[in-house]
Amino acid sequence: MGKAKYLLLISVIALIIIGLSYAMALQQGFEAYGLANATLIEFIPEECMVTRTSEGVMAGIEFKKNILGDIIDRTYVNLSVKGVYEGAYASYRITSKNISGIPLSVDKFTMYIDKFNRTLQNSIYFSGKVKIYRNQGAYFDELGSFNKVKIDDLADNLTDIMKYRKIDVSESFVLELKQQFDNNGDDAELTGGLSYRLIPTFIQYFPKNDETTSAEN
Amino acid sequence: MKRTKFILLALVVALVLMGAGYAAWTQTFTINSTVDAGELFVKVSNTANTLEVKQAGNYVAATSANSPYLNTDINNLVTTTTESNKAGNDSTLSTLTYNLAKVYPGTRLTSSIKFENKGIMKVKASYSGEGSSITNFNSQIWQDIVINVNGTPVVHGSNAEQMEQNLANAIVAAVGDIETGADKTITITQELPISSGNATEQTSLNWVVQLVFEQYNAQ
Repeated sequence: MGKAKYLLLISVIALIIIGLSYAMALQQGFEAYGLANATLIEFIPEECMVTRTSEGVMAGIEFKKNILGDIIDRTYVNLSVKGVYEGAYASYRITSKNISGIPLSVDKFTMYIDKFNRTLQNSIYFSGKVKIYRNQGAYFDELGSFNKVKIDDLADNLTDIMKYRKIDVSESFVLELKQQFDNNGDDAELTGGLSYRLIPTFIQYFPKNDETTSAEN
Repeated sequence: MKRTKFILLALVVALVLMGAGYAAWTQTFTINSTVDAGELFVKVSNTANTLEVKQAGNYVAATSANSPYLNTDINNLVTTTTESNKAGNDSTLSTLTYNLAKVYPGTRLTSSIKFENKGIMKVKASYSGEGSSITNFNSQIWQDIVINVNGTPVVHGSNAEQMEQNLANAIVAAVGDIETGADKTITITQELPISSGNATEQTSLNWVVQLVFEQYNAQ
């Protein structure tokens, strides 16, 4: 057999072995969850809350519920605020948990602004922090913070903070987010509204080459 | 050898792509947010007017047989202007004007005004001097008239401007702040005491107080 054919045969066998080992690792990771496309991260409703608002502002956190009032989707949360004015603010604490069997990380955040509801787009700023609670909430690591970031820059800021950071199995990460409105000093009323979606993309966490991992320990 | 290198390169590329394909998962996970500056709308309505006269030491309805106001339509004593909300499906009084003509001693007009906060934010009341006025302040009737807001007498001013301000401040204080969905009703009584002399007969009293509602922004 020629050398090329020999190499090709070896390559095919190697691929098959690699593919099998991945499949086995995958099944171990998802053993408790059945399908590979099960929910990996979900919100913890009882730990999502409005932490502070300015006077006269009404803020809330809403989940999708059925007619009985039971939450039916823990992968969606709506942060609402009404009655904002120049200088107003509303702060939220949003907690999510890795419920998959594999360590995860965030590849990126993407911001989508509703083009039919964006009159307040240039008036809003964001400040906040991202924390990961480890060892069943015994302690947390603050991954990063941001201050007075415009809406167009929020996704990039969060991506910079969370990219390549490990969210281990059963660990929670908390986004403390403050929505604040520009104050020109006259406390004028604002008109209109704003609707946006902030969506993270999760990936399986792989340690970098220069890191030692204790995942198997 | 070139073919071998090509095969090896293709193999490396395939392995790299496979690794990347295994690492990325898709799952819907959305933080949605809605922000609303909202509308400020306070609906003002004049819910009741009562005209009474004092007879034998007691106030009785002015439409009784012994009253000089027997055939008086009380609603003609009040004039208003209105404006609509942004949606155009509701309206409010924007000004409320009382014209008491031919006031007799012993006459009392009681008016109830309701303020309903139908917007989505807490509001506070203030008054606009630009749209407010008191006419014929030098008339004796202004010296004798007793005006109460929620049972508290309004302090007489030494001139028209001060009287207007005292009256407006009394009304604004009575209205105060109104929470979303809440309402307040204030009562204004205007009484010409029976002891008032002939100088006030056949005279008229006219005052306008224009209120402004703003979002309550306590800092």
